[in-house]
Amino acid sequence: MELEGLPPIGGLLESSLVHWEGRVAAVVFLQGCNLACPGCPAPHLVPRAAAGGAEDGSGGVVPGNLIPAEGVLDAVFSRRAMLDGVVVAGGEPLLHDTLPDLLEILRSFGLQTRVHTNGTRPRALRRLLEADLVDSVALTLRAPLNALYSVAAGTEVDLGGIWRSVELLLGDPGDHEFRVVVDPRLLTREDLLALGRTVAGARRVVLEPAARGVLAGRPGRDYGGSGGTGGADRNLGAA
Amino acid sequence: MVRGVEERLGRARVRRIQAPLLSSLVDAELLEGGFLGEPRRRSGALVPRDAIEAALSPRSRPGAALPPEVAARRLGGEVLRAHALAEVFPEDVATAHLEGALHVHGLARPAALFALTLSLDALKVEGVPGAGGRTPSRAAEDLRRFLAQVGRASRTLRGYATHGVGVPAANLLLAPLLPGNGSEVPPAPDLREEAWHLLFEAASDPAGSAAAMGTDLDLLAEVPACLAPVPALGPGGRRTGESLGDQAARSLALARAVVAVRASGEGLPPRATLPGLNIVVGRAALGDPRSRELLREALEAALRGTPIRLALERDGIPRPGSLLLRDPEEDAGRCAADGGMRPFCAQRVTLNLPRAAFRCPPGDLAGFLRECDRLVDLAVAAHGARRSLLATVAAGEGGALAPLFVRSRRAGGPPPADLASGSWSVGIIGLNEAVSHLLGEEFHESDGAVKVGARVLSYLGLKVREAGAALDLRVHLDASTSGRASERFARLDREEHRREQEDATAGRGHYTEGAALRPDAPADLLLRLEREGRLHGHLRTAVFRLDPSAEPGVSEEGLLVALEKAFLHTGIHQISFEPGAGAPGRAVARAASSVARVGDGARVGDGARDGDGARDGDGGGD
Ligand code: SF4
Repeated sequence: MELEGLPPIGGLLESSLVHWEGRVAAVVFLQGCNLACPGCPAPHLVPRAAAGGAEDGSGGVVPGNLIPAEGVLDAVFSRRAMLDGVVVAGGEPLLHDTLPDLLEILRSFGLQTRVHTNGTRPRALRRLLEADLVDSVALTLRAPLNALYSVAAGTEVDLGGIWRSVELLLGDPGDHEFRVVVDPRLLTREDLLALGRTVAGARRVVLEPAARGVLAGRPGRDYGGSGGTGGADRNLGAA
Repeated sequence: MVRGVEERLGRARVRRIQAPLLSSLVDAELLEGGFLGEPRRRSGALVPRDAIEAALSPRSRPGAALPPEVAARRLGGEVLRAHALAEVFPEDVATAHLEGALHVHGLARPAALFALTLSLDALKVEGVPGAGGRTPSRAAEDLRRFLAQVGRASRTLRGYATHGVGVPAANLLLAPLLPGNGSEVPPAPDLREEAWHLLFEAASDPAGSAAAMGTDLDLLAEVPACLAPVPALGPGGRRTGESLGDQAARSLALARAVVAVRASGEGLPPRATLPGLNIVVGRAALGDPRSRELLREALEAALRGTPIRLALERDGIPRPGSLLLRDPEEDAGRCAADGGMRPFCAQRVTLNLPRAAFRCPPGDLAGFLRECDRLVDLAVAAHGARRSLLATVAAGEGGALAPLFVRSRRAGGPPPADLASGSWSVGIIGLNEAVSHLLGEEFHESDGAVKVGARVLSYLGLKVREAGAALDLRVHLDASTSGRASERFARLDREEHRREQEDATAGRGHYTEGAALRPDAPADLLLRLEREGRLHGHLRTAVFRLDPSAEPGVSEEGLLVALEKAFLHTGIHQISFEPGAGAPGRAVARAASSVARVGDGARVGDGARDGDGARDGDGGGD
């Protein structure tokens, strides 16, 4: 097996029931991200070069040195009978030109693949879709596509890129899911409605509570209705 | 005898006692006087002073009121326990029990059985069994009255079982009593009303009487092929002209109603007293959208905190009282027999596997198996002794077990059950720690440890069968989940084998139940399912515990997928969803080159219990 040239792997979750609903999936976390979200649940995965360090306690991903791809593939392969698929997340997996090679190997194990992206790399996303290397794409949105996005992402963001990624997925016949990170200290009800309009026609939209407050100190908001913002999997698709 | 009981009460300073609750003290006197069983020695059974004091002190908090009936029952239990050890069991068995090499369950009620099943079809035909030779009540003519009879019968039977009473195929056998024919599914509100009555009637006594231990309702998620052609019995036990297979839609709808009502809890007795719900899942149920709907709803209830168990039946035979009494060889024939499905397990003796291991140096697997041989021989000798006692108390229409084993003259026909048809259980505790001592690795740490564990279980399985056959007893190997036995073993081992225990338990000082992975081991759900599944294959009953709250963000759909994986790719027998009970690893990640795992999941102990009828899942009554 040729393991040279695979993307840098910063973490492995050997099984998850939540990263791809309806499937038991392993989750491979690639190192490196082009955003700097203040509420990032895995800040150790953001630097392109993995640093050493201690466990951050944010949900199981162990920071530090990269994991040898061979070990990861071994672990996934040995469990392939119990797994339905593998989710490749990050960081931002689409930063890596070698992502298709990793997906190809995982596909060769007889497993389905999903990529979790922040949507900032539409060209890489298009290439993946055209090469038919993913069975599902999950795109995370953090704010309506306006100036607020850069606040939520902690850095300047090419909104056009995210917009193109959204359109790509909406127009693609394959499976997709939009995950909306809901931080009541950042987003108003109107923001959420605007996001709903952005992804109108989506097959599936999941509301995801922010792991940590984006803007510490700002009071939370009441979006009205009985649901609040707490639960995942509340469908905005019809909104 | 009366004076004897009075003196016991006087010594215990119990001033008031309700008449029915005198029974355990009277039993004690009977046993002591030689009227029950055939005591070999006539000697008073001495109850240690601290046991009496413990029996008479409230266990919840100091100074709390202890109801006289509870005090009397505990005291009676202590006397019976002492008597049984002195007179009923061979001396080497009693010594092994007292030293904590094994645990004989149900000593406080030696004349009771371990687990029983209540056959709804038999109840339809025969009415409620009459206790102590009294005539049974008539078969009910409508569902509501029948449910009241179910309540009465399960209360009666609970008095005869120390561990639990199971009601097999409850939804399927109740379905023919619903109004209309098999193809008519009553409206959901009507079904919920009946479900409420079923749960209410099957609930145990919150006051903690002898019948406080619960009833388990088995709900079938499909109609198994072996039951489909069985004639459906309607009101009064008469054949409806339809088969159980015709009841599939109603049966499923009723199961969904039971789950919904149990999850809502509205108007029901306290949660702890409600019957356990065991959903029996076969291959067909996983492929049927309507059955999947039931499973989804049950899992959703589990996520919201309702304790639910799933029994995974891969061969299409619903084990009668599946969670208590599986018998792979006999169930197939029994389940198709009219009025069948009422087997029982007479006694369980649990082996302290860590102790057996600690008596050998690390690496000495052969020595460990020799220790196990000795323990199995003792356990089976205990079964033989208990059988002699039960045979005596079962005899005749006035015998204590007459409603179970003797048909009253009025009812005629064969007896409801046959003592010889019962099974006997040898339970195990702490296989993980035993293997850890022998191999230096726990189940979650290496595949090799699981292989050794499987080898031990396979050896023990054969050994218990052989030893049982020599006494003409059907003995099975089970995973014991008795928190009390586990806690007792660990406490006694601390005295004799402190160093070995600390090493094998990484300083925790307590043992894992049955053949499970350590609850707080850093192992994720798949690893647990896969490894425990390989061990379940060697056991008659074993439970995989899953705390849904330890899987943050998981939905019922996610749990359903996990269930499918467990069914198709592992040998797991049962999955018990127990909110707050433990945390089979959640997010488990691999660190770079060290491939170290981090997990969380501190698990509360194994549910220590007080032996007064409180249940800890599958725990024993003693
Ligand atoms: S996109 Fe994801 S990985 Fe990147 S900074 Fe934001 S939260 Fe962290």
